[in-house]
Parts: sequence; C-alpha cells; structure tokens
Amino acid sequence: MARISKRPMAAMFSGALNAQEGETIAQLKEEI
Amino acid sequence: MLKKVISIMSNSGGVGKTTLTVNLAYQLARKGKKVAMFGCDPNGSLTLFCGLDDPQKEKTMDWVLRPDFKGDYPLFPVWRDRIEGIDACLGGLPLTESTQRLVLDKRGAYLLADALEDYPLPHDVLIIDCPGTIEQLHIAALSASTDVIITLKPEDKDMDAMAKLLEWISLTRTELRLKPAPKVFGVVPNGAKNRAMHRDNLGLSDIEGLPDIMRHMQIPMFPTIKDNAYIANAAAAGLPLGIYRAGDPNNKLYEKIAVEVIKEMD
Repeated sequence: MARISKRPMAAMFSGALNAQEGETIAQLKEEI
Repeated sequence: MLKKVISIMSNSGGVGKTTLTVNLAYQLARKGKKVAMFGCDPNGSLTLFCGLDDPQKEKTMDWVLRPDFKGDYPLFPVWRDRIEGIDACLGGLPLTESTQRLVLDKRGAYLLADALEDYPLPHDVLIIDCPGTIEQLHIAALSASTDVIITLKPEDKDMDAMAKLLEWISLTRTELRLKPAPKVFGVVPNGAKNRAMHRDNLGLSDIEGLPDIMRHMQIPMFPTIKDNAYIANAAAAGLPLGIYRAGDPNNKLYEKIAVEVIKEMD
C-alpha cells in the first residue's frame, strides 16, 4: 500500500546509522 | 605536499558539488593554500565551472586513472589573472572508459590513491569533484581521500539519497580497510529557493530533524548556502562566486568551510 505520510527522518537514516555502528564494532574487534 | 584530499560527494545530481568544489578551492587559495581540483565526473561540469574548453582525452582525469600513469598530471591553471595557486585536472566523457578500467584492474579501487602516493602533488589541498550517483569513481575517490564533504538539497529524495551515501561510505571504508579511514568532514545544505514553503504539496522537506541525526553520527553540518541566481550565473561565467560577485553573502559561508579545513591542516 502506498505511504501517504512523509517518511520519518529516523527511518530514512536507519541504514546509515546501522552501518556506522557496524563499522565501529568492526574497528573495536580489530583493536582487541 | 598534500595535507588534505577532500572528495565532494552526493548521491544525486544538481546539489552543488561542483559549485562547492570551485568555491572552496577559491576560498582556500585566498588564504594562501595551493589547491588542485580533480574533475571525476563524466559530465565534465568542472570544465564549465572553470571557464575552460573540453580537453583532449589525454588531458583529462582518464590519463591519471591508468595503471601505467607516470605522474604527469594534466593540470590546467585556472583564474590566474585573478588569483594564484589553483589548478584543475578535468573530467568529461573519457571518464566513462576509466570507469570500466577501474572495474577490471586488480588495483582499480586504489588507482587514484596509488597515483597520489607514487607521484605526490605539490599542492596543499586536493578537492575531488565526484559524480552524482555512487559508482566506481566514488570508490577510487574515497580510497584516496582524507575527508568527504557531502552536499545536499533539502528535498526528501536528496536526503534519502544522502542517507544511502552515508551507509555506503561506512560499508566501503570497512570493506576497503582504509587506514586511516576518510572521515565525513561535514554536510553542506544548499537552499531550494522558496519551495520549502510549499513542501507538503511538492513532497519537499526542510532539514528539520537532520541536525539531530548528524549530531548523533558526529557529522558536522555547515550553514545552508542560499540559492540565488548569482551562483548559477557565476558557474555559467566559469568563475567562482568570490570573483563573479565578491559581495555575495554566500562567499562568507564558503569561507567558513575553508577555515574549518585549514584548522585541521595547520
């Protein structure tokens, strides 16, 4: 069904936030 | 010797990448920095914005993005009658072939980084003007960069595209194992005239809410560049805004970005 309201900003950036978190975890693992 | 390699990226066209490239270069040069600009977009917009003619294939970035490149960067001096210290290596159609080479070459992702390491430029800052959508040239630019600046128009489709670009940057930095990883230096919004007042009807959005998310991601946001006819006219005249219309208030905003860049260099 088509979305009739604007997409929330947080939903828009959820992929970016998850990827950044994944990057941080990968860096921490490397440091250990 | 290069202290900063800044890729200007977005994930949509017409959001001010080349405008930022030339105006940031100009403001940095005004503060005494030697600046090189690389046009990494097959649309060749940097050529137009520099007031130059389309160069021969051997005089474009395609020459640099070859595995047998020997350090003879085809740099053109720009706006020399008005300011010292800015050179440009231009993009254009030959880059469509470079893109294929970047895919096929074993060092494709690192070709630009290799060139800059093997044959260092004498400039202080290199600004790379990237294409409008994520492609192979972005990978080469990212792996060569110390920083990324993202330009944005306050429209839903552009913000959604920027979100995907940020996701791609995180994933690609990890995959390429870039050390040190290039950081997102900041986001530069460009105003969308007065359309924001009709945003609900046009599917446009203001950037309300974005600062919070950027703060959470530790990405600085610069003040919005006000959209006006002079920016477009300056580009058409092949000049940075600072030369075309020195008194334009947007120059102060570009200068602010240059100041932040220099802070990290000195």
